[in-house]
This record gives sequence, C-alpha cells and structure tokens, in this order.
Amino acid sequence: MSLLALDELHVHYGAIHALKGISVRVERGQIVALVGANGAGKSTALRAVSGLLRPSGGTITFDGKSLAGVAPHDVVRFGVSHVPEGRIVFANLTVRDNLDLGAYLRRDRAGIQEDREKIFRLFPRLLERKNQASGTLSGGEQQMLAIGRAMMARPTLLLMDEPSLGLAPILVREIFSVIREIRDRGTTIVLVEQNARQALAIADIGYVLETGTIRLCDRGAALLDNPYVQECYLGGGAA
Amino acid sequence: MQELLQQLANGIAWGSIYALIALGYTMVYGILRLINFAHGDIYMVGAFAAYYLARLTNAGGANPSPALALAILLGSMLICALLGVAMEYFAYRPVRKSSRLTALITAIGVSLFLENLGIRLFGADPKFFPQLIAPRSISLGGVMVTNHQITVVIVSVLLMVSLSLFIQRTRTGKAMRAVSFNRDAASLMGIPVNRIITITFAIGSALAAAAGVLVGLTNPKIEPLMGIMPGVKAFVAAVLGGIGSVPGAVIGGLLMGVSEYLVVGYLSSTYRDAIAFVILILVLLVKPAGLFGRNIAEKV
Repeated sequence: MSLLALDELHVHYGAIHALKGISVRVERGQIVALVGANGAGKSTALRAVSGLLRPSGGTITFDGKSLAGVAPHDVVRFGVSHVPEGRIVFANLTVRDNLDLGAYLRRDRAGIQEDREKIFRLFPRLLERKNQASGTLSGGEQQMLAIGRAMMARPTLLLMDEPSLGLAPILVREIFSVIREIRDRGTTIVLVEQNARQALAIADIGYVLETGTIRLCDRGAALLDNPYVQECYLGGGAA
Repeated sequence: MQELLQQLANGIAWGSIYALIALGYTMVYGILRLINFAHGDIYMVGAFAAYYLARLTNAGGANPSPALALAILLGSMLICALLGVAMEYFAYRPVRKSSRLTALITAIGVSLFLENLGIRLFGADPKFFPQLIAPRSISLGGVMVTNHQITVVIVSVLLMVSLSLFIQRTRTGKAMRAVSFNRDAASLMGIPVNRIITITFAIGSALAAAAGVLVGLTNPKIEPLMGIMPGVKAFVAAVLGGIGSVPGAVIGGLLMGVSEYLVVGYLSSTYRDAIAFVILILVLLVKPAGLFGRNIAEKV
C-alpha cells in the first residue's frame, strides 16, 4: 500500500477548477517531485493534503486513512508536515521558539531536545542564531528554519513547497542535498518545485502538472531525459 | 511640583485601567485584525458582575474582607472570559471569512447589543458599587493617594506581568504569537487556531473585567453605558502604543491616563475627554504605527 495516494483529486477555488482529478502515488522512502509551471496546481495539491484546502472531489489516503476534509492541525497528528511556500517562519519569534512550535503537538521533552540538536547539526547556522528573531534571518536561513521546524514534528511524510524559490544557486544546492539527507534518514518527501532540473535529479518519481492535470509521470531520471520535459521545463538544452 | 506629582499619581492609577482594557483590544487585534468595539462593554459587564457578586455575598458591608474582594474580582473575570468566548463564537466566528468591514460592523452591533441588554437587565440608572476595601488615604511625601489607587496599580501590574510571561514563555502564548503572525502557517504546526482565538478572547475579556472591578473601586458609580468612553480611550491607548503590541498597550494606557490628569490639573476638566482624540489625531498624523508599532523585516 502506498504511503500517500491521491485519487481523482479535484479542488476548486470558487469558480476556478484548480485540480482536475489528479492521481498521485507516493511510496515509503521515496522523494516524489511535482513539477510544472506557475498555476499548474502543484501547491494546490500540497495544500489539499495538509488540509489548508478542502477538495471538491476525490480521495486523499495517507497510510490507509482518509485525509480529505481533515483540519490542518489534525493532519499534523497523522505524521504529515508541510513546509509552506514562502517559508513563513514566525518572524516575531526566535529561531528556537519557531523550532519548539514545530513540536507543538509533542510532549516528550527529551525527544524534542534531541531533535532540536539534530536540526542544529543539520543547519549549524541556525544554532548560531537560535536566540535571534527569525525575521532577521536571510532567505536561505529562513528556508532552513522552515524545514527544521517541520521536521520537529517527526513527520513520516514531509511536504515541501518550492524550497529553492528565491535562493542563490549555492544555497539551492545546499537545500537539495539536505532534502536528500532527510529522505535518507527515513522521511518520505513530496517536493513541489519550479526548478525542475534539480527536483527531478533527486526524485525517485516525478509528475509533470499542467493546468490542473497530470501530463507525465515517470522515474525522475527518465523525465530528465524526456524530450518533452527538456523542451518545456529544462530550457530545451541537454541536461 | 507637588501638584505635578499628585496629578501623575492620579494619572498612573487611572491609566492602569486604560492599559488593562487596551490589552484586550490589542490582543484581539493582533490575532484577528479586528477592532473589537464591544470590548468597552465587556468592561462594563465586569463591573456589574462584581456588583452583583458583591451583593450576593454581602461584601462591602461594615467589615470588608480583602479575600472576598479578590474572589469577587476573579469571579467577575471568569464571567467576562465566558462572555468573551461566547461573543467570539456567536458573533465573530461566523463572519471571520468575510471582509474586515463586516467584522467591524458586527463588533459595533455587539457593542450596542451589550449596552442595551445592560440597560434592560441592570436598569439605566447608576448603581453604587460596594466598598470592597475600606477606603483610606495615604500621604506619600505630600502626595495624597488612596489605598484603592494603590490596589488598582498593584493588581494591574500583577496582571500585566502575568500576561507578558504567559505570552513570552508558555507554549500557548507562543502559539498565540504564531497565530497572530500567520494563521495558516500556525495550523501547519498542529496549533488549533480556533482554540487559540478562543483563549485570546477569554484573556482579553478577563482583563477588561478586572479593569471594570478596579474602576468600581475608585469611581463607585456604575451604569450600563460606562464602557463607551473608557472603551474609546483604551482603543486610542492601544493605537498610541501600536495596535497589536502588548507593551505598547500598557505604555499607551499609562500615557493616556497621565495626559488626562495633566489636562485636568493644568487646563480644565472640560477638556478631559478631548485629549484622547487630540492624541489619536496626532498619532495618526505623526506615527500611524504607534510607539511600538510592528515593523518586522520580512525577507522573502
């Protein structure tokens, strides 16, 4: 059984039909990338899984349980964490408080402490700034904090929305290597990206979304070699 | 000099009450971006709740007991906390996804409802608030203060310090700040946003109730429309301090109280109410974000 299964998922924003019946499978331990242009429905799919949007049709099954219509704060209890687009760290709180809020539903102080230290090992720059208001961090540091904060819930599945957006190339590489590391430590990842090349390079499976439907689905490496993907999403050049 | 110190002492005691009310405005604004115009009326209900609790328990007789006074204060805070929760649930939650103007008009409606319900239930004529603590005047280096004023300041400071610790240190307090920053992102942490909003209304309303009881102590005439003017002035205090800012509400409230008494002492008590609006206009002209207005650098 897949860890996450979207079946014929529809989402409407008022009159706009943003997702027109997409089906996605995510197996345990995979990185699954959803790539596509602005407005293709990638973020919409993530927001439906995490409960921020209510689907108008279809099913979302996580670990055998239905997630459709579950409130966002309850979805976290199922073991699904969402790193939102634009990071949205709590700028008025310190780095440490942001991480602690990521563990809001947990009561095991020792475990929280341990995970906080793990995050600081993964992102040493956050440790240096742990008592700083997170609004003062750079964009890359905020992205690290947003990822660390989501990991504090000890999720089984991590949903990541455009983690590379607006970052310098060196930081993009760093973020992608962290994503791989998180997966290697056992967290399954669904990655939404406009940076198709990087995303497909680390993805086991990739889906190409176009205007609310799935255009292609294949192994990440195969999509990188696909002439259509190269033409439309990789700038027409050789990878 | 003596005169100035005297007016400052009066102003600080009075300003503490504004500060307590302003805290509720600023907390609710911080979390919902809603100016809860009914907040001044909660303060009125707080005073009446204490009035009836005092009558029920025969407090304020010949031998006032401080323990009973404290119990009445807490009882009134609890009643208003529940009222605040009900107000949010029945009036504001249904319009939360509508425009801010809808919510604002709803708040004015709730305010009128509470005022008129107050007139219906309590009667329009003023009631004499019982003496929960026997009055005494104390001279501090020539400045005359009453033990009631001292009580007001002490209780206010205790409440403000507790609130500040709660918001800064506790898990729920941090969740409140997260919800106030971004509701969706907070819910993605597993924070139950509706429950946090409920808690915010409960705390803000309890603080207003405390202000109502304290004002009954120092100005023992209470009536159902007593919340209108202090409500407006505490709102100005919150704007002066920077709406959404908790320390701003406290400073704003104290500044309002002190400037009111300076006007009374040095100009004329006729202008006592006008100063609030002068301050409001000046703030909006010079520093619309208020003294502690939030200007957080958000990098994208």
